[in-house]
Amino acid sequence: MVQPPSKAMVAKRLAEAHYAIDPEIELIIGLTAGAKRERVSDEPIKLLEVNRSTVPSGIHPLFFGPHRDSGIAYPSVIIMVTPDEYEDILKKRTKLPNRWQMGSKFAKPVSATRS
Amino acid sequence: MTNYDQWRIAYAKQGLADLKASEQLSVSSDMPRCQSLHFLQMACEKICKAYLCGQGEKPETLHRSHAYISGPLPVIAGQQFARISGSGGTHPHAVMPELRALARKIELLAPAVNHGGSVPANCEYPWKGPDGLVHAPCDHNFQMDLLYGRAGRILLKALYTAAQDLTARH
Repeated sequence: MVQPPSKAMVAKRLAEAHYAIDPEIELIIGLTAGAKRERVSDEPIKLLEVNRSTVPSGIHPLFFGPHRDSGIAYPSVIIMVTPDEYEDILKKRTKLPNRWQMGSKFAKPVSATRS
Repeated sequence: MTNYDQWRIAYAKQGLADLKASEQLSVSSDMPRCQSLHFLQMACEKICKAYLCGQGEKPETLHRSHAYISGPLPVIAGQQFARISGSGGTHPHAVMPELRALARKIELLAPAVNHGGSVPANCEYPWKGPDGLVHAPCDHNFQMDLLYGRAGRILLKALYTAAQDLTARH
């Protein structure tokens, strides 16, 4: 039986696709619900995206189901924030929902960086 | 099925119905443009709210505001593009700035969203303009050129796909 790609691989691919289509994204960070929860396949991939062109509207996680035909075998949650909102999260003035914690940063692919 | 799944599907179903109504109204030559735009604004709002349901947003909180389009809509479209690239297709490069501008214009079509009073024009109710005259939505040109270009086509496709995905999931 063919194993689906790991959650980490799908998260990286999603982040790269988002960087590629939106030059206004400054940074994408994976969020984690803790090691135990992250081992459950139903636990979504969670990406926090810092975008200089989005509206400052607070923390609104958007939930997406899996889409196996396109290789997205896991549900995902995207939170898009402005750089100022990101600062507030870093300084603990704004809390992430569901006790999620900041995880690894996804590097911006060279092809997606602005000239 | 959990309660938030029911809300999510119900919002998506109604959003899809609004989207179809908008399309029907847009092809009717004797119908003022504001009518199809009104349904488009409502469709966008409900589809965005469908994605917000159950992720920390209570349905009663979502009911209260119309300002839920310009943030979520580009994210929803972006996720659709990520799927396209995952299926071997190409994604429309750098369309997001146009799409974001269009999403904001659609959000401003609701009477309750007026950018601090500076954009009173809306699809539903008459308003008093800076010229001191009262304007009716059915006479107004909403300058929605972006809707008929690349960003508009992509947005409509993303909305249909998103709403159909959500309603078909369960």
